[in-house]
Amino acid sequence: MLAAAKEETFSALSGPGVLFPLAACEGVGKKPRQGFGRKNVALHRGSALPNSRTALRDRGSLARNSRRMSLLPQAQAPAQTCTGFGRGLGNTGALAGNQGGIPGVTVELGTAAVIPSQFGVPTGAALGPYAPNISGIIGTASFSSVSDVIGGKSPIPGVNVRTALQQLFPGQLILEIYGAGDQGANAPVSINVPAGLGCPAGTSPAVLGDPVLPSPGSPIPAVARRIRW
Amino acid sequence: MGWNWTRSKIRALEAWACITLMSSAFGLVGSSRLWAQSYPVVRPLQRTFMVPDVSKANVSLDIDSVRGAPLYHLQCHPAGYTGDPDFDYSGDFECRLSLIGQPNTYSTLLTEDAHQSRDWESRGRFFAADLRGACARIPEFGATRSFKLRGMNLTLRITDQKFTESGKLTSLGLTVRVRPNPRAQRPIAEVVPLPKTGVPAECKLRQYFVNYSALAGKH
Repeated sequence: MLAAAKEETFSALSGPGVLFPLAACEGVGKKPRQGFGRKNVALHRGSALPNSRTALRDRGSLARNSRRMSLLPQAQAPAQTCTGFGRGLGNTGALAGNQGGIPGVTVELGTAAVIPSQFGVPTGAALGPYAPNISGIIGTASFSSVSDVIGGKSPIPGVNVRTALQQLFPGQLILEIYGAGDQGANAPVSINVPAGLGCPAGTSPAVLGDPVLPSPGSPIPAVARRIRW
Repeated sequence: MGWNWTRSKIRALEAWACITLMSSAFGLVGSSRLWAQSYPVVRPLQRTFMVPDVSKANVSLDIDSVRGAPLYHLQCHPAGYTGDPDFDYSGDFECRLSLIGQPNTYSTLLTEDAHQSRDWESRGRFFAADLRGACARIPEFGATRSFKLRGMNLTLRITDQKFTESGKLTSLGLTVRVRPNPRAQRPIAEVVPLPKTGVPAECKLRQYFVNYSALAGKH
């Protein structure tokens, strides 16, 4: 990673003792957009990249599943789709081919590194059983599974990188997709999670039927939002 | 005309000498600044830990200065260890080195990557496959791995490793050896290149270790 985004995140020195991100910190200090609108969002289909289309096609069925889920016992609950906002870190894919932080899983392009605690589990090992079945889109980048744990050098000395990123981007899901470009802060997220995992930080269960509205102020015209009074 | 030419030649030589001297002076300043960042001399140590159950490994050791001040903390655990929220352990057995009394920027000082982006990016992570047969004998990537950093040589040596029939690592001994090395001045571990030839495929070196020479151009 070691990627452009990491360069951006870790190269600049701003403020005493704090390695402050450049582009990675876009939107720092802004409130996550989910806070002033309906939490459920859907991506605008027209803005998705070709490799995101499959996931977009599948969203309908997954969303239907999420509706059915409330009628089923927890143990039988199927996968659900969650939507919200996140910080999509860029990644060159340089570590693809290595065994990552999920036991037994080799990192591949188009898979994601995440922060396990945002999914309600303490470690990459604990996330392992669910990792192959977590997929989704952030901004215009899609991922087919989770293969790794975000880690390494921290933008805030003395604070581990996972905590630091959550401090820099409060209320947002942090995703780093191997081989994908930087998606910025407050990027729209749609993520499919298997039974047994709730919606990760920064997201909430998707609900069908929300009308699509333009997203004022968003650099990515991919957010649909309905305001419920 | 000839006198003028000689005089201008002398002036040019003087200018060259002046520039050379100034460059040397700045070079010396630069060197002294580097040396100003020298690290406290570590107290030599050698200690062996027996780990009867790798799935519950809990190795913990402080590395002190010669004056007795704790400098670094070495700890080794299996994947999924939850007692250290600042590090996500993976592999069958992974060691992490961190600063004591100073804010850590790198999640482990054993990393060789100045742009470290994963906790597992170091030779401090051991997989069962690395510790068997010919793989265990590969220098620096097998059972014995040394790290040069911060004025010391740190060696981790796995011994008496035992496996189940399916190849799962069950127990081991870990010998930690620390010696001062004033020439090791990098704040994180010096890069050890992956061996290019003579490595059995089952060692999976390219999968378990980062190839820093290939990575260099991708930062």
